[in-house]
Amino acid sequence: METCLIFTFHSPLQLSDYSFFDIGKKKPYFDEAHTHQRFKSNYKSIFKPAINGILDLLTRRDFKCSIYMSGTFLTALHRSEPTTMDKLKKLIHDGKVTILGGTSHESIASLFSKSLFQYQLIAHKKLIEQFFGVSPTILNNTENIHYNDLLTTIEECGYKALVTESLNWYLHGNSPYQVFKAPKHNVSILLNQSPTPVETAKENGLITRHIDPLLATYDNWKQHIVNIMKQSEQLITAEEALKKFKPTSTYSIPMPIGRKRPQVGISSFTENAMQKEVITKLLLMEKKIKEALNTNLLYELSKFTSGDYFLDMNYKTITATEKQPYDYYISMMNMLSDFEIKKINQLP
Amino acid sequence: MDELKVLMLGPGEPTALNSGLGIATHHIAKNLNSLVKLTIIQPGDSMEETHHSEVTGVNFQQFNEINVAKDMARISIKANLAPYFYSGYTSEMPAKEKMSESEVKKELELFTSKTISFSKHIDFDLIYSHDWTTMNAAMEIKKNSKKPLVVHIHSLDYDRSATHGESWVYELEKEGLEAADRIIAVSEYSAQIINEFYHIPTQKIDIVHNAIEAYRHSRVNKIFTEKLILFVGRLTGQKGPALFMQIAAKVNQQIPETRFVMAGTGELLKQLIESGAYRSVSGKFHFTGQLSPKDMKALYRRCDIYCMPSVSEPFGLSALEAASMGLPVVISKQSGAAEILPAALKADYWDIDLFVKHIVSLLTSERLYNEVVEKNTKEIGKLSWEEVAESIVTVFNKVKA
Repeated sequence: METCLIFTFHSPLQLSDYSFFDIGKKKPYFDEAHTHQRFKSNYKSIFKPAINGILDLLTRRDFKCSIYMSGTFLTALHRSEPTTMDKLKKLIHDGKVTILGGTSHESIASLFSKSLFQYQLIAHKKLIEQFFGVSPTILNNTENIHYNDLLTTIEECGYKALVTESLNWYLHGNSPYQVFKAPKHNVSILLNQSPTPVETAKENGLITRHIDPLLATYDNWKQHIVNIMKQSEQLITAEEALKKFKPTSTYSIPMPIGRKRPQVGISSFTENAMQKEVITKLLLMEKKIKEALNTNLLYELSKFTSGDYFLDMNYKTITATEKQPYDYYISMMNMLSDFEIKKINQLP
Repeated sequence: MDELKVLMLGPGEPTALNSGLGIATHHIAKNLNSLVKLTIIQPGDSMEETHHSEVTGVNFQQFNEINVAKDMARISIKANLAPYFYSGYTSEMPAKEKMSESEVKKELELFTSKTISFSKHIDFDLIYSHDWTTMNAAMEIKKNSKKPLVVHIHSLDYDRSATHGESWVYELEKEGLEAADRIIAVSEYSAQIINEFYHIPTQKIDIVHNAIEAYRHSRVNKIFTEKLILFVGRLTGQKGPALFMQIAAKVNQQIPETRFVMAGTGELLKQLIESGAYRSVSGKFHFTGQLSPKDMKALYRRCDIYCMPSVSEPFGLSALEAASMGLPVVISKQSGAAEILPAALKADYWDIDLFVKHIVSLLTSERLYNEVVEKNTKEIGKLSWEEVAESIVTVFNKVKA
């Protein structure tokens, strides 16, 4: 087995607390100080050890990997650790690392709006080009959300492959350890797998594995990765995997699927009335913006589609203890109302 | 003639949880103080400790849990007692939200026994108590002192709970009302409930409407292009927030250029938001949560129409506030406020269509809008807390005579 390791990094923009009385007062939607503070504290305890561990391993001849960083993470990293960015850039150009594309704000817009999704893809792509001088061709959508309807947008944005979850139901008896093709589109599909049993690891094929440092709590990063390396024949980047494994079977997904992780499924983002109401409001505003042909505003609007904000509006997934989901809902709706009267109502 | 010495058993200072009641008794006490010699015992824990002054007849040295305010003898007893414990606890107070009946009874017992023991050191001619939290103490003090008791009712279990009188609070209220020498009701509507559901003869009841402080109403620049329709109150069944959502949906259907604001918090906030009932007026229904009095005034200035579809509202101080801030009010007939706002548009709380019709009329007729505002403003100008206090003293004199 050859293993394609994908490390994912994300740190969200923190939203301001927005009361009804803040509407119309030009209060910013995002709290820069809080955003920076959260990145800094996570960087110190989680991101930095992970990134250093990976950079350290990359000095070895046999270590290769793929990396995904959300747009907000890239911006924050660039701001505070420019030398790390330079190191990554070199590794990408040397072919040791494949940098993956995604959404600029770790957006879940792909679940309800093609255009907001598209603006998120474009914005992320621009950041990768700006920081690393390459254009990503493999998509690692937020939560690995995927379904057939997204393929046109994905292809239009210049992607030739994507990463999503391996689900037995849709494999129709095919082995998951291969690269698939998408129906009716020239897009290849890499399947993310949970940790693999040792006996299958010895067979021929490809294993794709995500590692999210925020979710993984390894005491010793390097040791963990070295263990994975021992199980696999060889590590390859996502780029190399696509060159080596030519797709024969089709992976056709009629309804949205996403990454499997404890407590959070893709329904966690859109299942309750508050989340649905925010989505309805976003779609209403999208329609108005489109009628006025003001695409800049579509990107501005898409910033509110970060998955983090939707998880905060759900009792099952909220992490804050001092606030309730409806506090987040009220604040979000106030921001959207402000956006509506400030930006949209003034459209010609 | 000697000054009448009154022992008032109060509900505590105004807080988010007893807003209308707290505000009313605060003003009553302030104005009564110049007419009678007033001593107040009430639950609460924070008084301005710096304003100690000598109060004759009360040896405050004996109490270590009390504070004396500048111009009034006030004894605050630490007690976790809110008159709306079973319907009004806000979501911000999760620990107290689930305060059980037995815990409340225990707190009440403690408050009652402390009140009684403090009262023994006070010289008074008459006991004047407010609502159910003070009933037990009032009855006991009356029994011990043989002094007459006047009970002022601001709201009843009948109004607050959906069971309409199947609770121990109802039993307690009934007992207190029977023991009282005279009863003050805040409206005809409330007097009628005291008579019909508590079987108290009407001859024993006097009606004294609440007043409102005069507000200056200055208009502010509107932020929304749409008209804003406002609901204010604890989000409990009594206040009819779910009815307001239905009204909102129908108004918005007829006049899309409308927005709706629900101010306040309470047991139903979580439920109301999670239900998504507001989704029929998608994106135009706002929740503000609990607001400070200052923010509340700012909100009145931003809004265009006030709507109070209360299921049962003995008075409804916020309707007066809204009217005094220059808003036309559409209120339920099951409210005391309806009696003193002659120009208010009224409907039975269940008559959603009539509420909708009234609001649509106000939105479409400037003439009607101005007429309602002007007439109510004029009527409110006549009200004063001084007069309320005078009427209460008149009631006091009836029992002394």
